[in-house]
Amino acid sequence: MLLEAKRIVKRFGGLVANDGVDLSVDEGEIIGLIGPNGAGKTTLFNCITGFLRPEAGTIVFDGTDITGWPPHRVTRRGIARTFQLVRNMDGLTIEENVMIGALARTNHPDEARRVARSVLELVGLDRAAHRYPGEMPLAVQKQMELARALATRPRLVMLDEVASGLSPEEMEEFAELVRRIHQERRVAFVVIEHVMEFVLPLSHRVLVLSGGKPIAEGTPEEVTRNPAVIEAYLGESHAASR
Amino acid sequence: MSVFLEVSIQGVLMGLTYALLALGLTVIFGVMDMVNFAHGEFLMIGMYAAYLTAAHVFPDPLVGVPVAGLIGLVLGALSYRLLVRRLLQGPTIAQIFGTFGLMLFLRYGALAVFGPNLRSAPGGLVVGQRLVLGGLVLDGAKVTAAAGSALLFALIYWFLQRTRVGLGLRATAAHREAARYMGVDTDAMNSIGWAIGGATAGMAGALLVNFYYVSPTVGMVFAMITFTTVALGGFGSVPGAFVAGIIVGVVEAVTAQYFSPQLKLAVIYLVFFLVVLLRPHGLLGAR
Amino acid sequence: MNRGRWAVLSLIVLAALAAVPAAAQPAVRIGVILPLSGPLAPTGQELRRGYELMVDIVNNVHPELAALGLEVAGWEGIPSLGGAKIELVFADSRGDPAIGADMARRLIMEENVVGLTGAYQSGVTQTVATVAERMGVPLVNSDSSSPTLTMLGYQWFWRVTPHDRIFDDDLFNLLDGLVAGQAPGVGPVPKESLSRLAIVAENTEFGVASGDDIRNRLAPERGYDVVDYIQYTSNSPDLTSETTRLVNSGADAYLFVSYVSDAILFMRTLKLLGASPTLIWGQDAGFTNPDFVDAIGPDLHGVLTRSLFISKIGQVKPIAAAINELYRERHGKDLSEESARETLGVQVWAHALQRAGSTDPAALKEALDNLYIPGEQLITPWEGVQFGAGRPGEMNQNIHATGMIGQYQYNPDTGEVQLEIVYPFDFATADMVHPFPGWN
Repeated sequence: MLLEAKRIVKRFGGLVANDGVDLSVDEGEIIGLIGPNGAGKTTLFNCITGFLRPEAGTIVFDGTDITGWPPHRVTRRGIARTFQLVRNMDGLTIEENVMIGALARTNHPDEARRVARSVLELVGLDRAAHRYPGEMPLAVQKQMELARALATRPRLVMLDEVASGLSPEEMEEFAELVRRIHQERRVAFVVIEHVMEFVLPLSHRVLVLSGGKPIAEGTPEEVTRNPAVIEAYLGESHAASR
Repeated sequence: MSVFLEVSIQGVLMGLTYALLALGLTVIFGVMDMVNFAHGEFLMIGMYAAYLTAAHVFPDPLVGVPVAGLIGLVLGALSYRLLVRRLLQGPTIAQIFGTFGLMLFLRYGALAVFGPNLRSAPGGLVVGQRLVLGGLVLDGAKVTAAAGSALLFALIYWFLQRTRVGLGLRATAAHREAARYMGVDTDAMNSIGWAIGGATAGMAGALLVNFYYVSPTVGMVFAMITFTTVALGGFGSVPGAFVAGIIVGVVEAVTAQYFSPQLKLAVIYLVFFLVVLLRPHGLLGAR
Repeated sequence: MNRGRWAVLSLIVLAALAAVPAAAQPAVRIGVILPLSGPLAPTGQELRRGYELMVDIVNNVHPELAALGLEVAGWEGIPSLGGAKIELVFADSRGDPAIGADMARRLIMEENVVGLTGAYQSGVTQTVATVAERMGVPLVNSDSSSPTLTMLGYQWFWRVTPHDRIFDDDLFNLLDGLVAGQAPGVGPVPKESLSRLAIVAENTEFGVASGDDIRNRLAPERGYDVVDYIQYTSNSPDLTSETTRLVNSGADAYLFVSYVSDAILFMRTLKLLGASPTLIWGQDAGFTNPDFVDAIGPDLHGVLTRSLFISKIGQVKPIAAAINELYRERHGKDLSEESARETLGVQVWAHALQRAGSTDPAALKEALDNLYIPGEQLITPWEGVQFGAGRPGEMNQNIHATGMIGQYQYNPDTGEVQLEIVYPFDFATADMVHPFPGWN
């Protein structure tokens, strides 16, 4: 098992955002993490990547207990992520943004530049290397975030709602990109997503959270047929329609 | 040589010195979005380090430049580790008063240790040296400070562009959280930012000793012009501080020559307000 | 409290008990208001040492001083008051005019002082003078130099020392004297070589008052031409442009009203630019500061500064040497301008009390109004102390008060820079170096 998060509990005041969540990821696996708004998906990401410290539970990555590690150490250990709202490092070019990621693994800027170039080529951004992310369309910024994450040579990449804000064509391209990276680099992915058309075809396995608790787990087909899942999503849409 | 050219050259010389004073302040602000009110006092400590080296070890403040740089580096890093890091957990107002408190502590600590007297370098390679270039008389000590400034700016710029730590500093400045997720130890970057801020302030102070007196309150003399330079160039921008320093120096010299020395500061602030009106983040400021 | 302190305390108590029967007359208390804390505390302490020195001379026998003609040294108290001793009651103004006034009221109402002295900064002295005026208590001042203090029509305020306009007069007396060939060691100097003046003054009250006085009053009166009047902001990071303008003004004489930090920068930059005026003069302040002397060193050779008191006067005035020697014994250094001032204040109080023969305010006022102390008894080069109107609208100013002008002279043999007296000419301690010889 590559990642094993067990019984993660995280509270914000009276709100229990994660209430005993388990998440395990195998080497080279793509996991979909879905659930209605406020289900605790991003909180789980934040706990795993070190931005938040869980009140209870353990996170073991590649045999090492990384519970409570700061983000930069988690990254260097092999977990990278993207953000729901892109976090560009403006003032740095796209290439430099990606170099920062590469520097998690090397002390040599030249080496980092080589890594950055190859990753940019992989995601198809090599021509935009010397542009600034802030001046590029959203799809490019999201690709850059992915490239930046890949440059850290992760074994697990956590994508937080990469499809939001993208057109259907861009979404399709992005899914293709994830598949290609998965094949070429044997990287595992955890994908938080609202857009089912994006996440379900991509995932090997899907975990559904609702109200901070796991309510279902299985293949995309199993999960979409699960009554509890339908209830959770219907409840949400009911709430939305009121 | 025309008077205007002569005055401008003198202005550029002093301007490069102002830029050097601003360098450390803008580096710290860039990394942390935090104004170090004790910057003038860092400068003062650097000046004492160079003065004392010259008075007791080797009679030339230039020898004190590395000493002052080292002391500044340690002072900056310690200020961060022992004080600022803790302040970060408090409200912004605590951060402001925190470095303000550091300023008062260093200033009055120096007053207690060194006394209120004004001290001057006993001599040195460039102290009081006249450089005559075709009818233009330049102060060798100021030329040295200006050259030191250009050198340090080039060094810091190269460091920020080309080295691993430099990129880490820039990444932290650009987006702290994203940088952390890219494996950047942003807390270490804060320390390094403060260390660089302290080291450049220390070296700037040492270069000043060649032509300026040292006193516990000398930080006050330079604080205002330094903060203005940083704001004019854009908070956090290294090239901005360089350009702004030169602008301040030239505006000062030209105003004094063609209008009145009394108007120097008024005109500098006028330029500052105009720039800020047109570009609220300063000449080369990001965001 | 440790044993040592107990011992000291017991000794003091015993001494006080033993002293009571001997003191036939109660002491005459005089209130002293000084900035004893705050930024001016070091100056305040220096002033205090001057007061204490002269009180000691008045209260105790000093035959060596009496032999030189110093009357009060033979008094052992105030003879006309049955040998009553003078007792000083110090109060701290903290340099604040409001606190100074408050201290004046307290000294009068709670400490039963018969009169006041102090308070150094002209602003504080003015509020203290207001209190003294309202309560009818004499205030003798020897340490404030704002000309307005003796122009306010105060009946209960007397100033012993010169004010700033008198110091400015001294400068022009020196310039005129140079032209007339009165300066020691210098023959008559053509006026054309001195007539173009440039004033460099810091732009607050101190600099502007003096600068304006020179430009608007003295230069026109004495026939000099002010070719440039440069006002600058004190504590500036750079004074190159100011100095360049000064050199470009083509003036013969540079007149500075500057604090020490600016004085250092100006001298350095002048040297760098190779300026060659015929004369450089400073209005005290920065130009008499020891840090200034340290910073500029031998390059000061030929630079002039005004001062109230230069201890070298001892070479030409034995009484000054003797008093200075007494001070040196106690404090290990020469009388400074500050401490010298206050010895004069106490001396005036002693004479006023002696003349009045009473501590009644009206009698003291009468005594001060008609006081005369001959110049031989003073450490300063004055003809004496006598209060009156030195100029129209003035009152109770010592009409004989003048300043001194010193010249820094470098002795290559000893490697020392000494401040020699060159004005008043009669009290010169060295030949004057003129014109300004340039830089080393």
